[in-house]
Amino acid sequence: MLKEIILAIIIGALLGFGLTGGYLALNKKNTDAPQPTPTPILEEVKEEGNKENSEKINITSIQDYDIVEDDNLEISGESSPDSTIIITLDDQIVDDTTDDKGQFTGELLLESGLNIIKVTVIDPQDNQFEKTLHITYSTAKI
Amino acid sequence: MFSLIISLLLSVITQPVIANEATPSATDSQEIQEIRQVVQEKVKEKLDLIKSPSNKAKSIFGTIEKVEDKNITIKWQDDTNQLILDEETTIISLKRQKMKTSDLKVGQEILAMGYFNQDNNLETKRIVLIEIKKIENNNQVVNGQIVDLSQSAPIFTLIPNSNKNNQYQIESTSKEIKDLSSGQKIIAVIEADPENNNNFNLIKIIKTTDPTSSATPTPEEE
Repeated sequence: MLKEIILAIIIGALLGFGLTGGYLALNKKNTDAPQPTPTPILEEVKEEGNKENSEKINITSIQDYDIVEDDNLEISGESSPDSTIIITLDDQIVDDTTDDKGQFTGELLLESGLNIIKVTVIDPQDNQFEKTLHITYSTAKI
Repeated sequence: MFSLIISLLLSVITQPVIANEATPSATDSQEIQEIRQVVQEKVKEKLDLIKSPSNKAKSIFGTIEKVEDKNITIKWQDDTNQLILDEETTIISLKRQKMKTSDLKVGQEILAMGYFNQDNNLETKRIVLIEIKKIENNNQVVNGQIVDLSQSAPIFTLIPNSNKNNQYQIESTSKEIKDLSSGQKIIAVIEADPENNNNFNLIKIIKTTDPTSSATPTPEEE
């Protein structure tokens, strides 16, 4: 009698767990299949990429809020190829066109103290971007 | 017998769990790896930028909001910064004379030079009083089309490409204006007239395009 009861429990358990397990596995497969992308990380990178794209001006020779000891300042950087670059500081206006790699260089003569420099880029599609640099020229020991 | 039942139960229970842990495909993991690398590079770049000021002198400017012993709070537009002064901090007035910390007052505009610490406060070595209005760069670059050219005065109207609802009334004393014509596309550097902010003065014409030529280059196909 005991044997039959145990056998019944085993068969019952096997059937029950087998069916439940099969159902769960099938369900999991169905929910996984239609959602390949995007993960949250992907979205984050995409947003960052757009931000980068909106700036379009990368100044490589100097960082914003730097202090320099030489009044001759060279501003070089990168943007879109064949774009018009305009760098202004008071009455100094330097304009140039970026090369086929998007690189540009301009020179300005700084005044003592804080200099607010605007770098404007107009790309061949007429999109305009601007970056402002705050550069201090000081010969005092900091 | 019981051990047989338990082992059978365990094998059935654990099976779906193993099935759930599907390994990502090779392409997915490569993409994730690339994304991870880009994110790590960006984070490193930003961290370097934050950390670098501690080794390199930086300058910040703004209006004094609060003066508390050796701590000063300055603000410019939306940025608020804390300055930490010490006995060696030099303060220079508008007349280029040395001042004491106690001479600094709320509302004064200053340029502070020093080194950023880990709390992002500027350990200030030198303060110079400034007048920000005199330093501001008021040049504007406008890329647009001339829609009207006065016959009686050296004035023309420019509509920027970025906002067709906007227009600039620009006056020029330069001879360059004689070469301009209506419909021409130009890139110009202008500055607002200090007496009338609706009028602008022409500083320089950077580029002109013949009105008869193709106005805008066609965007490149991707």
